[in-house]
Amino acid sequence: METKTKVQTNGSIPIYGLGLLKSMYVTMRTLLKRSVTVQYPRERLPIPALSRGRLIMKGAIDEAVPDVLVSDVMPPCQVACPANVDARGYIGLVAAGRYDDAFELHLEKNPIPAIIGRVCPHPCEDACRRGEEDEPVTICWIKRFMADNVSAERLNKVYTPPKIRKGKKVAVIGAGPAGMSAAFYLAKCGYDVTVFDRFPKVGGMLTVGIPEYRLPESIVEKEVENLKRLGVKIQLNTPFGPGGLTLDDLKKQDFAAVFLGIGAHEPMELEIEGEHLIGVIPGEVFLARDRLGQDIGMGKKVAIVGGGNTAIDCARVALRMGADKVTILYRRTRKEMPALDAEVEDALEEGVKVEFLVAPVRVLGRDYVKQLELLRMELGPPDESGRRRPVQIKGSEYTIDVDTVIPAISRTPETDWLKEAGLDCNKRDAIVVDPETGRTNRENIFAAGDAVTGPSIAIDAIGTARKAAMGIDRHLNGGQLSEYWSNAFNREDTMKNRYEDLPNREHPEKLDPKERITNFDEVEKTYPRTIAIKQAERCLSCMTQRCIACHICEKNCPTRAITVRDSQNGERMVDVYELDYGRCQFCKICVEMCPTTTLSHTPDFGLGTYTRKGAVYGKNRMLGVDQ
Amino acid sequence: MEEIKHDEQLLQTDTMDLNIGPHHPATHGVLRIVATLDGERIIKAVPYIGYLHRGVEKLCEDLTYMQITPHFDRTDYVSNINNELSYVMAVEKLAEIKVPERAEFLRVIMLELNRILNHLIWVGSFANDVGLFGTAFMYSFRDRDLIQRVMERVTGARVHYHYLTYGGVREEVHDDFEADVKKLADWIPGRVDEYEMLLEDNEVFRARTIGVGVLDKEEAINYGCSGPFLRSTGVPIDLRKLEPYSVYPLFDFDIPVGKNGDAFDRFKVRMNEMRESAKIIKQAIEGLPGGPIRAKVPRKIRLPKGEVYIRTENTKGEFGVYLVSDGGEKPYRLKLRSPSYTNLMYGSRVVEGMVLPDVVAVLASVDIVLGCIDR
Repeated sequence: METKTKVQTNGSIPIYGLGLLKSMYVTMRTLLKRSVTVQYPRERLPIPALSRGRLIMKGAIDEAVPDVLVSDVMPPCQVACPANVDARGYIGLVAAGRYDDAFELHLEKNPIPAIIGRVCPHPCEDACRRGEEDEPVTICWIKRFMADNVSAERLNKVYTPPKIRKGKKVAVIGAGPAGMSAAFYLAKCGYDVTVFDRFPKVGGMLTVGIPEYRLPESIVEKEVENLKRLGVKIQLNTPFGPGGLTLDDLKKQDFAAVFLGIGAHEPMELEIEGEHLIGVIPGEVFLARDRLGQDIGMGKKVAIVGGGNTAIDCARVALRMGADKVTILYRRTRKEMPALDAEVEDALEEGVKVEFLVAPVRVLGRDYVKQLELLRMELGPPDESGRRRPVQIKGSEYTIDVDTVIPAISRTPETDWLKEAGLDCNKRDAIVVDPETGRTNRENIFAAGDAVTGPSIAIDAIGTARKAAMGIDRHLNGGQLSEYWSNAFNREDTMKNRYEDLPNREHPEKLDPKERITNFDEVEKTYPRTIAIKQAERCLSCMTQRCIACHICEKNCPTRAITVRDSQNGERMVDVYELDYGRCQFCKICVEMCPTTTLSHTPDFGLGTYTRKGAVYGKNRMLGVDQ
Repeated sequence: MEEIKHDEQLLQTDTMDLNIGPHHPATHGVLRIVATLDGERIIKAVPYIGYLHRGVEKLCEDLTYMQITPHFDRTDYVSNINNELSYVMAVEKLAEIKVPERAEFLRVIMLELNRILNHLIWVGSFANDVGLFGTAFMYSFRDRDLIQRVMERVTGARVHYHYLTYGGVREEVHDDFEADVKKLADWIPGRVDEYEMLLEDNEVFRARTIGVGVLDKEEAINYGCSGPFLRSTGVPIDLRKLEPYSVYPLFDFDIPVGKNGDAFDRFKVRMNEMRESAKIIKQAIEGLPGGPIRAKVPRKIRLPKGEVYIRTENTKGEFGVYLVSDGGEKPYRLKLRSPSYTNLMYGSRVVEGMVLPDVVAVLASVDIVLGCIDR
């Protein structure tokens, strides 16, 4: 009998059977040979107890509203300020009508608000959080208003010499912003301070580098009077260096420490042919001659090289001194110009011409300047500073007729002889100091201001000078910092609870361009009281953790899930804060946008609706679970 | 023979239009396919899209740059952070923002974790669609959850993370982040082995995938396909290598490619991609530098006038953002380039001549998300 080892092939069923067998074999092999039983991992990664956290409005639910400003976090304006002046604090006080307190708060970091309120290029306003919403708060103009409106009593109180005397003498070289600040803080600490300056007028760069129409001399003199009331002695017309006062002289005169605030007065050269002809006047020299009443030696057709604030100042002074044609030559474009936009606008209004993308090649003339040869430039790729580097266009030379050329490029400190005296200086001739204490490598000598940082803005000099003054105090006081701020006032309410919707900053009154080029009167006026307060109320009180009802969270919610209802009793206060969870997509933009950091969230978001008077709805309540 | 021919002619039937979707689990969302059938053979399959159209592109024209970012989580809702990256990079390029290194590393870690999440959900639903109901799906969702927990601790959300922002990332990671991610990176390749073990030798799986939906290399390129879909044909195109962005050049990883371009190869490519992702994550977490997580950028940014197109390797292919700015605080136009869209167009072409059940298998292997196609 034949055994059938083969499966029958006629018909379709056997083929199907074979396929089934094969597939079963594969499946069984897989299942038996390689076990694929998978276990859950033993450890579970820990996650927060709430699967979703909460959106918290500080002071609304479980936290009491603080009455006193307790915030360690600096607002953006204060961070941006080189001297870390508490702009939020004094603007809050101005909004509350307490100008005197605001002034005193301001003096903690900057002793010359009236001057800075006029000349500062206000980096604080560039950083202002309100600027992201509409326009920045007019911090600088409010500062000026505040400084001009301090009461005489408060000035008397602040500028009384302290009772505790240290009995040590400190010499301050240079009566510029750095010198004045150092003198103020040292005098407040109880030292006997003497200020020396080589110019016949006080103010340093503030006087010889800034024209009268921006900073009237009377303002600087007022500050100096205040310093004198504190007991600071001022010796003018005393040059420092070879042929004048030297470090050894000061040592002989029993000065315990020396503060060098000598600034950066040496103009940099253009390094082109014909630069030493008569009629080429460096910008710093030009402005100094104007302020000190010396003969300027300016012609009628003036060309100014450079794009900084000094160049603009020179141009506007030249106009006022009777020049017919004033042209500023700058090698980049308007966008890259380091000068303040407002200043450039003012200069253009007055009739200054600005030529962009040109660089001087040589000055033509025999003894006197006749012509200036220029070369066209174009912008290349950006350099280290981030600005686009100008590149020469070959063969594009042309000449213009001028009789005065004012290079206003940059300036350096005059430290040649200080090097000989053994002080460390860097490549740019600036004195090397310890950034925290202003200490130089020589015993008892401290330095700050432009002499350390290179040419910079006044508030920068004030910041470094304050640190150096603290450094001197610590050094002379045996490592201890004196309590120089003995008459600290009550600081409640430096944080305001008001907010102004007004989207625009208001410009203070200005003189008419036609009128103002004929004289040296101050161009900008101080704010009147009503406008100043209104502008101060535009401040968002950043980082105070107290809601000011600004509605920024509501405006920025992509899904319009937030409803904020203001208090009905006239105060700028939030009464109801509602979050619609039907719309909320948990993007956290409200938290990120909140300027006061009142809103915050737990790592995950919350489900609930809160009102100011306590939590009203939770998630379950909304869903109808625990009604 | 002649008789038979005659018979076939007699048997010829009319074609029939069959509606698949829009509400059908196998269409992965609300996609409607009208398949013209001759018997069980497909003559033509036309996808009809637009059932999930929200008008995101138009919506973005009325939102500030910050408000737009969360919408990108919701285009392709399983590769959220990858979408955010394209948009964020477009803004950064126009505004010339430099991102801190730590932020770039954190971005890469989150991007790759997100890629694994996407491939996990894909493998689950793919196995589901080709007939292995349940098992792979349950396993993949279990694994997804472990990754999601880590991501939730960082971003605060399980799905719509909203983690990237122009200038960096939004939040600092928690203290255990490095340990958590290291654990994940060590653990993922083993899990991938498991999926392969589960599916690769499975008769049903093999029958439904091998030789199904074979792509033509050149035609796929002509259609503009990208991602694992294209790479399954053996074309090694990956924007992470081709046009390196972020800090990808720092890492050592390969681009897995397939051979035949069928559904099975697409499965293999995605499995290997998960292994490569784990490799990248491991390198990134070991080299994670310190420093800030966000560049100093204003919250309400104003972009300069101009236009920019940024493309990045999404989990599904090339995800592009074309951004036109007129200098305001809102974009003038925002156009998205969705990989799902182009891949679907070729995918629906490939099924011609196949039998009806293969449509589901091919569609599943393309990996589409309707939220991204319709926007």
